[in-house]
Amino acid sequence: MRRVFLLLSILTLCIYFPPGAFAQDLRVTGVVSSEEEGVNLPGVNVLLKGTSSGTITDVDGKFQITVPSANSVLIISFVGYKTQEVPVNGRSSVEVSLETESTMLDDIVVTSFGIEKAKKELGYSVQEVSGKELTETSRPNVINSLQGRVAGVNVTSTSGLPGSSASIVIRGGTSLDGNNQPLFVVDGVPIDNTTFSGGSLFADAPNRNFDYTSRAMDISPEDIESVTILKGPSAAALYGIDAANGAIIITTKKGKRGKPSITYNNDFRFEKNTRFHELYNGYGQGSEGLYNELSYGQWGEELDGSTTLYDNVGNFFETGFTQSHDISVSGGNDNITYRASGSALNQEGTVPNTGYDRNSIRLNLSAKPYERLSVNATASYIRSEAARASKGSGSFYQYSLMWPSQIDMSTGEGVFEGDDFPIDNPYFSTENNSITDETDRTLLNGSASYDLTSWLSATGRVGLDMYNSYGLTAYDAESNQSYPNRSRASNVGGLMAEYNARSRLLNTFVLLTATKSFGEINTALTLGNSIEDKNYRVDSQYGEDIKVPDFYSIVNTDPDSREVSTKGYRRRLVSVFGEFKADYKNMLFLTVTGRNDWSSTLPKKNNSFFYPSVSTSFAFTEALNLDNSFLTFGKLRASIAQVGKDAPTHKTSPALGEFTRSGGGFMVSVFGANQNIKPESTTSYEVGMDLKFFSGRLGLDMTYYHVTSKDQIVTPRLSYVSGYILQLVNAGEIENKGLEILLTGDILKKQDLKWTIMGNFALNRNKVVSLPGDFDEFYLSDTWLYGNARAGYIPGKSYYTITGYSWLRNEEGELVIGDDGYPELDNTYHEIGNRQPDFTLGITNSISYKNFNLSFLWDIKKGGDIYNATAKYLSSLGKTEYTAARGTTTVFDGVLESGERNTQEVELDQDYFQSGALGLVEENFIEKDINWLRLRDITISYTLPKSILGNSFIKGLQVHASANNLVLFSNYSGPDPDVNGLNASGRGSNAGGFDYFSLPSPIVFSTGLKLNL
Amino acid sequence: MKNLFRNTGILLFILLSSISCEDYLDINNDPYLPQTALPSLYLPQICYSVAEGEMFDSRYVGSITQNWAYGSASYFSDRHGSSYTSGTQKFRNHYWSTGSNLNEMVLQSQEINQPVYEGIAKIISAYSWLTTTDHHGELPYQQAWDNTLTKFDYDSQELIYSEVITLAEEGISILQNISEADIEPDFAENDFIYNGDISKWIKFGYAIQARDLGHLTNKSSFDADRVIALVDQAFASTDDNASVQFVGDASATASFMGPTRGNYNIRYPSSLFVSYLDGTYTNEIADPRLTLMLNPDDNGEYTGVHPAVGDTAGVATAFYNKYIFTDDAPYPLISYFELQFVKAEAAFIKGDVATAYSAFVEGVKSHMEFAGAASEDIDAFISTALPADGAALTLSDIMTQKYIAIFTSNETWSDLRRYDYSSDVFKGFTLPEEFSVTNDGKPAERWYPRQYSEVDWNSDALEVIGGLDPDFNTKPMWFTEQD
Repeated sequence: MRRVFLLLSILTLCIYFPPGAFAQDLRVTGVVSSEEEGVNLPGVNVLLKGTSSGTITDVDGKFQITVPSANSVLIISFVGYKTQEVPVNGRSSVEVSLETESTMLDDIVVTSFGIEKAKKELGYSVQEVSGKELTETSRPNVINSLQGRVAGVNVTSTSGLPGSSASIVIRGGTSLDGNNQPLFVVDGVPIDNTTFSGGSLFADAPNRNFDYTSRAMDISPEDIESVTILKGPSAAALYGIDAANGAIIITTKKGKRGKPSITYNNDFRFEKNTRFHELYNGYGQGSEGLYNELSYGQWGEELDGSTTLYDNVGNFFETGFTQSHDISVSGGNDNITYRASGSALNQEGTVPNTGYDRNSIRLNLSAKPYERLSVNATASYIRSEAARASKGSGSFYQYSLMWPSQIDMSTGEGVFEGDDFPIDNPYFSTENNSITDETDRTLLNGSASYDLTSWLSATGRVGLDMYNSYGLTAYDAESNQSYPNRSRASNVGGLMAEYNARSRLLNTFVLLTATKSFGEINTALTLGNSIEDKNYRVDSQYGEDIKVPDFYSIVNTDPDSREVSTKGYRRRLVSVFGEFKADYKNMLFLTVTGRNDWSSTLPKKNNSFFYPSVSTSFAFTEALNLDNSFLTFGKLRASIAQVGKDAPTHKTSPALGEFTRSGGGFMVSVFGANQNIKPESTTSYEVGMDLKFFSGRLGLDMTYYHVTSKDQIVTPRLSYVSGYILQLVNAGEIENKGLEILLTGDILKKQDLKWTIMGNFALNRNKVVSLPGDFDEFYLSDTWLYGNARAGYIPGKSYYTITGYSWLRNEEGELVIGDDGYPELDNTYHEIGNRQPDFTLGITNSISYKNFNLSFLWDIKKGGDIYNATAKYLSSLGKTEYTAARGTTTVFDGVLESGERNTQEVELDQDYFQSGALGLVEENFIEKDINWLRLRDITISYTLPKSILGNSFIKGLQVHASANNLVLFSNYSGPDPDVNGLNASGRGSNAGGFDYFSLPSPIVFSTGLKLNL
Repeated sequence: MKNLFRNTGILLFILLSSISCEDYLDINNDPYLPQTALPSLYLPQICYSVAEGEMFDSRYVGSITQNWAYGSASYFSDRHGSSYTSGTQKFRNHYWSTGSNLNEMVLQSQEINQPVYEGIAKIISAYSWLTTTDHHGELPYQQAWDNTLTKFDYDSQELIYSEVITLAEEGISILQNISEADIEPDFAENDFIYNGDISKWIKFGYAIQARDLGHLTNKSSFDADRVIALVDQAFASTDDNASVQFVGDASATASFMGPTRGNYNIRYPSSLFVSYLDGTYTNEIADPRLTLMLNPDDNGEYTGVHPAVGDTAGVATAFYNKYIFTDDAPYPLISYFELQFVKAEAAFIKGDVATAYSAFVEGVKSHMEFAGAASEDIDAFISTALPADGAALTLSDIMTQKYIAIFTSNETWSDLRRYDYSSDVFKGFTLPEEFSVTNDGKPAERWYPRQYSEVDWNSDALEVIGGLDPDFNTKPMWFTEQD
């Protein structure tokens, strides 16, 4: 803490510095207009060059400013327009007309703490996506809209159900066992993007059967002005430990000076699931070639085509319909601007009785009560409700695929008794079981900035993010669905489980920024302090035997069956940080940052940790005067940064656990204490260049990075002899390296016809360098979804390795064949697949002709393996093409233990296909090198020309039609290779690439209008 | 204005220096769970955990001993195979849920000066060490629960056997010096074995020693008199049984053995066990326990499933709702009848057939009562189906009746191993036709070490004792070997 005082003392001293006095003050008035439209522009920034003092244009586009000399220069900048420098030249009034910027977010980006920086000065790669691009996709979840648009950003959808989570990982994971998702920041303040985890419920349910919404989805895309992606420790150095995985910086729309402007946008979406796991129906219900009406398995008689078969899966899904309406009003004067918006989204999914509703209101106020003081306040309230369906094992999707094709599921009984265990008819379960949740959320953000002097300003900011979620899972007394680690509903007369989750995240920041120029050298120093306080609590309860049918209240359950639990955590983080920036002639830049964190999650002796970063950027075209028609701009950049990561909460000296069996009481935790835990440490190197050719019509941005994460905080299983099962330990190392290339081009730039193309390419190579203890493999137990395959880490192998069983091979890689003529099993967990893609490529095209605009995004992924556990399961039922070979004979190509070649002919019978050691061996369901080419989003829009609207009250009207996931080409045998066997709350490398009855995303068509009054 | 800045600066400085950062960050204890508790609050979990380890692993051990057989063919433990991941619950419980909680309970009891907890902790610990070493053989003893180590050395079974005696004796001595009046009432409320009866805990201490020393029949040091003396100091009737109780009114509080938890779904009575009760070896007179301990099959008959063959006829029924396979039946850790057979065996070896015979009859009789047989049925059976006197009594009578009496207990495996699975000792016992491949033709003598604990961390120490060999499970243990 001593360092805080040191810094504060310095800051306090700074305040007494005599401010530079101005001489010969000169008053200048002016007006700023748009060159293209010829209208005056309100809200334009007018800055006195070399200082931080400035003003903004009023409603009529007018401004006045006091300048120190007749030779002063004004910098006029406005979003969407090219920045202009205007020398005063002794004039008392100036007229400025701004040229529109084709790539509007080109030069200024929002970085940590909302600090805007010129792209030129950055020593690391950042990428931006405009709110317009996001809303064009018509996707309700901002996370999903980012996929394919940013190099190195990988979004994995959990399922195609409404309100489903999506996980986002930037540049590969850095944590073996922790969270790898980036920090979400809205208007300078971190918000919660947690996906609820079943682990916080009473039954410690793994996240295999349920999904919850990623909380970032609460933000309506219509409220977003832009999203900046800070890709790694360098970019996010100031945000510290929470941004070790990068940061998603969201800037929301603010009020604009001028007469009230009203917008109304709507969108109507139709969605349909058309891609499913394909079923093989060559044989009928039964076993060993004989018909059995109770069998889910289709190992019966060969079908000759005369048997009626039902497309039970395809018939089950409905057409989903979504409507959304967004309205906003904004305006203001010199002293105060406002924007109020309301948003309503109502979605009905493709699965009966599923849906997602989101309603929000938001108010933003910005005021400048005094010349030097500006304040900003935003409040929003969001309510979302989701009606879900189960996922994975035991889900409606599994049962619809299991349902015998000879039986019409739509008219079938509620329960299919089966010859092994009964299953619910999906029509019955989606009608009678209910999995719902609802969230009320309030986001408050307030800030104040004060220009203490012309070179020193202070900013304070407070952000509060509070939400309550209530969830209910209720299974009908007839249902055979079982709650994780609990009974089947039909055994206990129905059951219900409910929870209340309360989250409060409070952040405060104080920033002091000083700027000073020394001749050709400009410097800026920012010092700051931030405090984060997070409280999270989940109360859950469970009851069986629903007395009054269909009435789900805990008081309506058998009192003896009830269980309750309270879980939660507190985390506090205090930080001080500083950033020193210097540039020489605005072409050579150097930035040094340092941050010290004190985290409550670490043992006292290790809870303070410091980490630095250095980055530099060199605009060599300017330095060497290379500006020519070919190479317009060139910049080289390099950075090195370190960042720490703290421990999970309450795990260094664990509390007792609750004992819920006879007698109750407490028990020691599975976690052993470890008071020696120190922060995880990630070191990142990044080099890159930005090049612009042909007056900026072609841009190339390349980045190479290398990130090593050491002293991983992992919770391996111990030797139980220690007295505990798990313990936090510092061990293990991961290495990520990769290349990102961003190419932008204005292919055509005619008066009426414009075509821009943007491609982003990313390649990541990820390696587990070392693991704790003697571990040959360290695995994520939740990913153990079906059979003997899981996400396992092996030293020297990819972070995204799939470990599992395969057939035994000798050193030459040949199969080892047993005396019976069948391959032998290698029942050790060894590498059988790697989910890491070779590269990803996103290509966005935007073509405009007169008032028509067409944009579309191709999302390409090359390589990466998938464990198709769904196919494994369906194969055991004889319902995949793989099992069509039943009854045939083969000679396995391999060697006997004697060394001789195998010549024995064996039959591939039902037993073969149902044996985990033979036909069902996991390796046979690893699909290698899966590629996809996906037309992720396509939008066509038409903007009514001014000539038609004339002087009516309508200022603008645009109509559009869009489609999501319209085209998918893939060599994957399943419906969609974008799968996650768990959900976005999964840790480590998570379960992307594990396909186990996940419902793929539907195809969506939408249409709507944007109206501006 | 200038003053304003200065004042603000000073104010900030004072404000920040007065907030102690240490206190602000000192929130790393879980807000909803205590860090420690009164010693009695650890006791329900400890009692449960001792029984759970036994019950859990008995699903596999019971296959080896042919208490039951698996419903489908070639089941690995029916064929004496082993596993690094299943059948290792006792190991987990011994060191963690029993062991660590005992340590914590004793620590907390010292805070409030309640030595009773230390007394029973030593007795429970003795029992846990004995059953765990009987399952796995060598174990880390001396370095156990040293949280600063990550790898552990293994100690010999001989050492553990002698430490079991020491622990039990220490426990007894502590308990003998406690006045019941000094014990807080919450002890009895949370004691799910003896409901606070110290005299029974002391008897349990003797019972453990009797089992420990009773195992050493293959050793030249075997001391039959001492074993008999220990049995006499231990339980006086089935009321003294060391049994763990279950509330059994919800799935969470139901016994592991019962129908609600469904842990014995595909396990059916073995043909051997049925033959022990249906009169095959008792003058064609069916044992009254046949219908009390087992359910008839779907045809209403008592047939039994052959190990590794499976329920080929598809008629077998599970054990549920009979004997101790209910949601609330207490689970015996050591019983009065077990000890009577220990005494009978020791006396028989010593040549005192009169003592052997009376203990044998007492063992059968008390178990029949425990199983719920009517006294006239018991008397009729004993007088007609069993040897008439000490002269007619054989070792196989004793061991076979013990097999019946301690049905479900892993202790049967120790008996079978001591006598090399001999059909001379266990009437009609035959090993499965084919062993698991890795057994290399040998029957099971122990269980593999646990993968996600020992193989992952202590492979060096395991290497020394052959613990990583595929046929380690067939390596005889110290206690079964002749010296």
